[in-house]
Amino acid sequence: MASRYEVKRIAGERVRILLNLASDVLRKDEELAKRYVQLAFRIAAKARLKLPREVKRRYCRRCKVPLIPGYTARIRVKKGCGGTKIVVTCLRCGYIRRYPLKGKGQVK
Amino acid sequence: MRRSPSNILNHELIGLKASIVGSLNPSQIGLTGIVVDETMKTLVLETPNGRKRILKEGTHILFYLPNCVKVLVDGRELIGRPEDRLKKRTKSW
Repeated sequence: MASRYEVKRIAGERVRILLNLASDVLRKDEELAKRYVQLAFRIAAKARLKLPREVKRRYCRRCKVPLIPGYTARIRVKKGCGGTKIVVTCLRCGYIRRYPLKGKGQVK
Repeated sequence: MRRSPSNILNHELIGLKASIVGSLNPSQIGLTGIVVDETMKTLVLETPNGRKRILKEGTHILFYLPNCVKVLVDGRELIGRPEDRLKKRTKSW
């Protein structure tokens, strides 16, 4: 029987499997990697799973590509009047995300 | 990976090795490969001869689980989008 706890548990396993697979196939088939990421997020959404921040930020919000510095993402540290920020640019679709940095402690 | 014969219907099929052991399409019988994608009514297998899209309905598929267990599934039980298959659709056998 699919109790709510079971559903979340299975969903969690599936998401983890898919995201790992996505990183594995990224070099061979980018479209496939994006598809796995998209599926993983859909499954998490269906199961109302809260994904940790670090996990969410590893993939482009717009095109779902796994963000690898140097390969699919450009990482820069910039100073602005809000403080220092880390700027992540998706090299595939151009989507930009900025995250604030606090001294040493930053979340990626 | 806690994929087992009891929860295979709800779990992820992508990444599993699978064989078609029965099909309404005789040319599909014997096809073996890794599940690479899934839609509501089909599975895509990566075989030595390339990617093959097979219908779930009307086929019997043997899945090879990581713990060396094999599960034979009637394709009809698998119908549904991957995200929908997550909820319910548990069949006890």
